[in-house]
Amino acid sequence: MSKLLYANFFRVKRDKMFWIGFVFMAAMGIFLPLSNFWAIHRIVQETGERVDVPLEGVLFAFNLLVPFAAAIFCSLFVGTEYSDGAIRNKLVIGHRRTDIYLANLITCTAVSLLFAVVFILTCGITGGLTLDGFQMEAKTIALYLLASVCVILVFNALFTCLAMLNQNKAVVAIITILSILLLLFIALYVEGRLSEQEFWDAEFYMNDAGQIVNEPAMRNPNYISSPTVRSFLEFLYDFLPGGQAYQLANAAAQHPGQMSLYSLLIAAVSTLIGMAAFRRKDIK
Amino acid sequence: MEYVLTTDRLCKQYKHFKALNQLTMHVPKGAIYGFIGKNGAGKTTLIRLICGLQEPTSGEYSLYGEKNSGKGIGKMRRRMGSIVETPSIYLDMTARENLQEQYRILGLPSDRGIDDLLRLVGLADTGKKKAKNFSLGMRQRLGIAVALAGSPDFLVLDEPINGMDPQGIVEIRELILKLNQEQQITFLISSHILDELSRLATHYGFIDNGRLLREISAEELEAACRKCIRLTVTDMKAFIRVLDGMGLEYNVCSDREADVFGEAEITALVVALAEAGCRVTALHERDESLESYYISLVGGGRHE
Repeated sequence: MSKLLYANFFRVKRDKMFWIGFVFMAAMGIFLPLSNFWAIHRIVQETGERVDVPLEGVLFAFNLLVPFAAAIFCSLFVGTEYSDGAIRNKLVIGHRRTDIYLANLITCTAVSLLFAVVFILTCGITGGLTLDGFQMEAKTIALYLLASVCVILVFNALFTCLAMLNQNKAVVAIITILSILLLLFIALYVEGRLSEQEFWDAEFYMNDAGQIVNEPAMRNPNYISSPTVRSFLEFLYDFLPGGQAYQLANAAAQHPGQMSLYSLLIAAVSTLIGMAAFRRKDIK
Repeated sequence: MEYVLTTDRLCKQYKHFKALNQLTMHVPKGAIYGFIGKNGAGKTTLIRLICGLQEPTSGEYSLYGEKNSGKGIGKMRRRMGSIVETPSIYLDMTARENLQEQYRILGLPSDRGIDDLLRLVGLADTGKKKAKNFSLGMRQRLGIAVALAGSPDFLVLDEPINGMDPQGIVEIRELILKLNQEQQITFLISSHILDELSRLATHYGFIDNGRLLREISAEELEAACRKCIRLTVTDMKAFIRVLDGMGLEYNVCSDREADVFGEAEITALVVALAEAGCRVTALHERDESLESYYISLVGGGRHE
């Protein structure tokens, strides 16, 4: 497998999509803290109040950007092996299918981690100069970084599985991007449901007759009162990669350690399924 | 005899279609094995199986004595190179970069030999031109160079001269012959261009509807397609008497036609037949080609 990895990384080095992704992530690492800085600057000018903007508010935003970059890179990088027929060269000379699969997974994951690193570096430098420092504890930051690595791994595991089993790179690119959007949509929906208040606040208003009306606090019908359902949604929010990415990007993850384990589990299962299916796939 | 490749009742089923049906074949070491069959006969399917791109539904094959289910099959594959349907090349790389990439996949420590390979296939002057800008013939040549990168001793070529100009066809033919004679590389070549194959092959395998109809060496094929004179005569009995008397080898095709083999003197033969009361109404030389042999084989005709 070392030969396959060596060959893959040489291909990555001259791959246009890799360099586009690299520059994009570096640019976003500069843009995001600066846009935060200017937004806060305007608020301070308007209100005269000091607003704290901790660095972690932008530093983990790569968790929402890297999956999209990974989807495009993985589908095109692996898809080219099929479209150009190069995967046949590897099989004909005796490389095992599991080695080919794992080499592609490792390559795509390494590229995504590199995207994340370049974002962290540029954001860290730009944010360090323009925003406030970390307010998180060092241990929490470490757990967040670990969870972020696991999120990157799980997305790449899912994308590699799709790309290795489907010979059409355009179809794979569309499916991977749509799947990220779906996962994020589910995450936002779950987050929204979990955030619903139990009661709508009491209201005082004047009616047309000029009388003060007191609307008492009312129970919110959208509030999830069932402990079982609430627990399930909380589990889903932490379990699904979309929920994890969203929480980490907003520096709002409550259980980063647990999320890491969920990611590793999903990555392992999808990789095993993908490898088993690829071993039986007829290559045309 | 040592065989590089043997298949034993190999079957491949795609849903409701049986592409290979109990196919058994033998490719001798050092041979140029011509694999002949019409479109959809199963040639490419067999090549895909032996190259490890697909698994057989049933049956097995062996490479250098190692069965496809054996643990050592990967090591045996290292001795193979192939072009399956289309050349396997990265279109966004130059010829040199493609070979360098193949060297990395093979684990070869240096780029030594790449220049020789490019010269061998006539792509030494392509420079920075990317493969996507190559003509079909150039891509085919690059595919052959990539297949040769690991110094294989068994090359599997699926329609290698597709899209090549006449000069290119000659060059590829000479390359194949050179590699076979100088380096004892065994070739398995599938092709529709029978005339070209007849100039190359030392052995033939004829496939139709997923079954191997016949395996035959070039010598045996030549004997079966012997040159003869076909005569149309008015009296077959007299014809037989005359030819038996002259000691000539013949074969009666019908009550009016017969083939005469060997170096028969036409004048003496016709005079002898006329004296026996047998007139010759038509006479022409027959030199059966690989094409006619194949057509009669798949058409149900038998050649003993």
